[in-house]
Amino acid sequence: MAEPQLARVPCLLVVDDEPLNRDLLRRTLKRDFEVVEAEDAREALVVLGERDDVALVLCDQLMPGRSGTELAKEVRALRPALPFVLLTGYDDDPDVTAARTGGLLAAVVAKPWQAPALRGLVAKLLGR
Amino acid sequence: MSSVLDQIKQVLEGSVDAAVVLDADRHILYYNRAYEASTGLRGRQLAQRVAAGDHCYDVFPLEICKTDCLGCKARDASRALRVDEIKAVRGDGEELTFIVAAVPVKIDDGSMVVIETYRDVTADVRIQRRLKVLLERERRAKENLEEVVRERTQELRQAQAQLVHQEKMSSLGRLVAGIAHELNNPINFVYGNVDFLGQYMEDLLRLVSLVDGAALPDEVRKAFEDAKGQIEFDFLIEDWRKLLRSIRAGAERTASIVQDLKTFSRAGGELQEADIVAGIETTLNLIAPLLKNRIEVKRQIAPNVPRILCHAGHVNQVFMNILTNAAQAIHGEGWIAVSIDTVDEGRAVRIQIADSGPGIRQEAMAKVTDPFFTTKDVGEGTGLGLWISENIVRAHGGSLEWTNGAAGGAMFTVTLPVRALETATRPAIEGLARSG
Repeated sequence: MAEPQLARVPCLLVVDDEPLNRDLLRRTLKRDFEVVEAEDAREALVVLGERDDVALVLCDQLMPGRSGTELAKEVRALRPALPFVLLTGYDDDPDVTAARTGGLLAAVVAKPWQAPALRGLVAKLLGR
Repeated sequence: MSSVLDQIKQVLEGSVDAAVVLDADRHILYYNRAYEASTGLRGRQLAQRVAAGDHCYDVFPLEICKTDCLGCKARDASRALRVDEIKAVRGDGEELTFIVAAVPVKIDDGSMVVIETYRDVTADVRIQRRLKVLLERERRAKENLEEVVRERTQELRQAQAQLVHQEKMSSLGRLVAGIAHELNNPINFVYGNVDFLGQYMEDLLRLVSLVDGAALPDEVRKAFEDAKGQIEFDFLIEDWRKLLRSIRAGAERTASIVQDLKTFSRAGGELQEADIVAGIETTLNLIAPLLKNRIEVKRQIAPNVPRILCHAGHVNQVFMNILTNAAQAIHGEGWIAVSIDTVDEGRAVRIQIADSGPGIRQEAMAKVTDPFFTTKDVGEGTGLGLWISENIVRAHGGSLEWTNGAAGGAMFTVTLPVRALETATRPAIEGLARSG
């Protein structure tokens, strides 16, 4: 019984260059979801290439290398139906506004976020 | 051997200067050809008048003849005298200028005669006058040029000030934005994790209470109670929630400061509806360290102050400048009074900021918004704050006024139209250039 139930827990990909933020996201979401991590856009694309069961991406905007919105563009090309949630301190960043207007983002979460609200948002996006 | 008089006549005959020899009664004993020309009388006329015994002052009146006869003086003094720039009117009415010299000479019969010579310097004087006029003109032109240079220098200085300020503000903006971003993550760690810490504590304490409630062997119970004593368990139970609340409050306060900084450094030229009252509160929060435990802020806000269409970032900068000045003007304890109301039949919002500082000195009154004018210590103020402020307010179609309040401190009044002029969308810097 336990095996099939575990398999049904949705997998979330957390992308953030800040390990403490990844820890916090894992802590916030691990009760209800499986959490895999990537520290930048490059690694995130590797993970998405390896795992087709990722159900949602949570991604920081400002990272070394490609930004969150740049990754969102690539993810859209790769997996058009995959919800992409952007975490940012800059909700008025022009890139973020453009990505939001362009429909690339399922949601934008402003830092600092509150754990229950974030959990609720992810659950809602995954229809749970 | 010829007489002295003859010798004199001989010398004078060829002189270019007009010359006469006069006796003691100022009758003309002799005159030369140049004299004839100077008097403007025809040769015969002159000869007749001289023969008739006319005095020199009748034949050729100089301005000094009646009152100040030079020949008389020379004779009395027994020495040669000379005066410059003496005027005389020639027979034909033309005014001439002469250098007049008078030399007393004793002649053969022992009597004194006076030789007077008149050098016509009319042309020289005219040239000198003309030269003087030209020089004066040139001096004025030079002065004008200096004035123009001064003006241009002032303009350049203002332009430089704008650039420096622009650079400063843009560096400051970048710095503020950078700090805000760098603080975002650490605040997030604290803010996000504190709940988990609380949850973990609850879980652990539940575990402890389970153990505490269980029947334990005496030895274990004793060790358990000893450990509780050592860690001051009772105090811990009481204190941990307070501790978590402090951490959370600290994180929240930091987050709100970061939010303020972001609001403040936000760029964008679009006019937006802004809440002036909230803008003032934000600014007061930002300068809280200047006010802390020292300055009381009194507020008098009229009901229903409308939101205004403006360049919010710039308008906040105006309040920032005025409030900072007010806070810095107050040494020791004092107050800042902010009053906001609606004027001009609801078409404008008036913000008055008064302080309990020493006020604006009379001699500084007119210079308050001059660029580079500051009463602060070197390094404390750039002297640009109120200049920028006035220009921002003007670009909005509003006004900035200042006076000393009844209590003696400074009072600044900002009046902003509810709907700003389109010029407010231009960068503050451009507004400055236009007014400079």
